[in-house]
Amino acid sequence: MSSALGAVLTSQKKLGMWLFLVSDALTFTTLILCYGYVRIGSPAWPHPFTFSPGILFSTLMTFVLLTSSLTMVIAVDAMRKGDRARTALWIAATILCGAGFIALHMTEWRHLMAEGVTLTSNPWGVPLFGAAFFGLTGLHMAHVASGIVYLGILGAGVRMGRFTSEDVEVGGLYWHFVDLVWMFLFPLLYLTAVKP
Amino acid sequence: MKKYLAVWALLLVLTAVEVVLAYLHTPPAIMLALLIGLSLVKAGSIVAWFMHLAEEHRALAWTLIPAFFFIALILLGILPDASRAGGVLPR
Repeated sequence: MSSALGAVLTSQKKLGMWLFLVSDALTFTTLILCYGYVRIGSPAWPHPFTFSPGILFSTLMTFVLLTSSLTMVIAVDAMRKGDRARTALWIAATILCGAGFIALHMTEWRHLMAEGVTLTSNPWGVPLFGAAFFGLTGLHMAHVASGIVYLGILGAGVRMGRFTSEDVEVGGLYWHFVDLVWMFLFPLLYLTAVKP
Repeated sequence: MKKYLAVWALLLVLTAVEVVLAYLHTPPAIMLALLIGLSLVKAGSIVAWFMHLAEEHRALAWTLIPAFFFIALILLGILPDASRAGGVLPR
């Protein structure tokens, strides 16, 4: 594969992850469009998010997730330079941010549930609000949770001298994608539903 | 490293702009367009610099982006029907 063809192709691992991410992006696109469909089709979509705590809280979650992307990209950079100890440290920081995101998100979920929001009903009207909100954020949170497991295995392996810099980069691709999806969920779920 | 910090800062600033935008009394359609536009810029920045797609061989971007774009375009086809659904969706 050292021919001209080999120069064009990216590595199999990286391409594999990229193709998975495109298909996963389509899963989220489909769900977001379904959300758009029920929202346009419903007479009065609820606007339940007050500035404090609702929007402030979700903005903080966005900040934590964006920061986790920064720590991940620093980890990838450290691994390229062959510094395994620093790589493991920055992966740990990424995991910490991811766990922080889930902790914040679960706090928010519990508050909403305490207010009476379920998958099929809520105090504000259109019953599909709960299904759309919990469905989208739940699938995203499942991605963050599996990302934490993935990075945990990756970080531990890096410390023990396993994995190449490319393996860390492929793990980074997944993590950044989870961040990318949130860049759409945050404005579409929260910012278009602020309490007037 | 500086580049990554700059991208991170850009993403934070754009997020702040989005939050401010949500509180300006912009007509819903314009606000939605601006929010989606800003989100696309943010997603593009993540893909290009955090995921290093800009530094890969161009063939990779050409393999991935059009495939996603055209399927997403087909999926958009359900939206015009939504205005009709008002009568059947639960209130």
